[in-house]
Amino acid sequence: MNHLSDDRLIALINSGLSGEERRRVEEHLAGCEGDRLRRDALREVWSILGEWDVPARRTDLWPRVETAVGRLEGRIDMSEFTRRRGDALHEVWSALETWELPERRRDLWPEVEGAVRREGRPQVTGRRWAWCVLRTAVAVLLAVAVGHTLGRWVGSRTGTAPLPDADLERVVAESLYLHSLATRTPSGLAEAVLNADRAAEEEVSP
Amino acid sequence: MGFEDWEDVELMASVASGEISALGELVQRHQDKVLGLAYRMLGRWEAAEDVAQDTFVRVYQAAPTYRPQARFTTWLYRIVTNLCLDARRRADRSPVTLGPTSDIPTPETAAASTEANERAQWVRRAVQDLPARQRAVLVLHRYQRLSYAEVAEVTGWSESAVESLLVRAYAALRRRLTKFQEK
Repeated sequence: MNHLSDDRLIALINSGLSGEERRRVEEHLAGCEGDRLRRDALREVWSILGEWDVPARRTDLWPRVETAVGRLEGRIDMSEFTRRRGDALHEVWSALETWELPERRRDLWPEVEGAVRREGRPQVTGRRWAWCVLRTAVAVLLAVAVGHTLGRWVGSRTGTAPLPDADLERVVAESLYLHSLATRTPSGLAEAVLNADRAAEEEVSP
Repeated sequence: MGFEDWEDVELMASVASGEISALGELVQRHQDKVLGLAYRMLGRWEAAEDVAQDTFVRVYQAAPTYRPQARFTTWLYRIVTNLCLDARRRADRSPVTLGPTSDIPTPETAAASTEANERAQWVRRAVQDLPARQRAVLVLHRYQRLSYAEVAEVTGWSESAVESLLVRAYAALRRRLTKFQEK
């Protein structure tokens, strides 16, 4: 047998069931003691809830509501708000305009001239000089180091490896419009020049 | 202007057209029900009066867009219920706002502390101790005598949710009643 749910029993107590449904529920209750006990317990709760009687409050809400509505209307009158804000800003603007700087007829030059003569130009002392030199030297060293490192890095990135000596000599000779450079000597190009002079002499005196 | 014979819907149309005295008639007509509902949900007259005032201000604001799709009282109860739930939520966050569910004793409430009213006080406390949604559903069903469908319409919850909340509320009250009777 299916028992009745609590919400059906509560609806029955609250007269919330239609005629046909009510008849079916009552028929079921007649043969089901468990549901009758549950109905009685719920009816007791229903009954005791009725004992909470709220006394009529002798309060007339209308004056409060009327005031609140009036305040609301005043608050949302934006044209009035804008006008008041405009007036306030104009007042501030006018007040600012009245602030005029008084004219000063004082000549400042004598005071400045006196101060310059008194103080003179700032002198560079020996200590300061040494410090300047040191800073410059460090800056130059840093620039060289950075330049060198940067150059090596760029070279490695572009893939230009240093040429072998023979190729280097050939490149230098070509750039000088020569077939080749002279044999290497401890004195370098001096030998080449001497050789060139000797060859010229032999051409002149066969 | 006499509004005694006017329907609520006609009064709303009049409020929408700017007739403020029509709102006065609505207040006179429904303030007791609104106050009673708010009081049972909140447990304090001061808070209930604030909610009731807010309710009629909302009615005034909504008048131009009001469409009579349901009974006026259903719509009115929906506003009250939502405001009460908001008030309880705010009170839960800052207990100072609403405080305990008791009023400063007035001659009436002092008399209510007599033995004859002990059960009524117990009921009041038991209802106030219910979770907010159960309390709202119970008050609407038991005291405003709304059906499950009407409670669902007022609260915006489904009918099955309303039934479930009500069953849980009754079960909680039964347990408390048993303990109360054992004392």
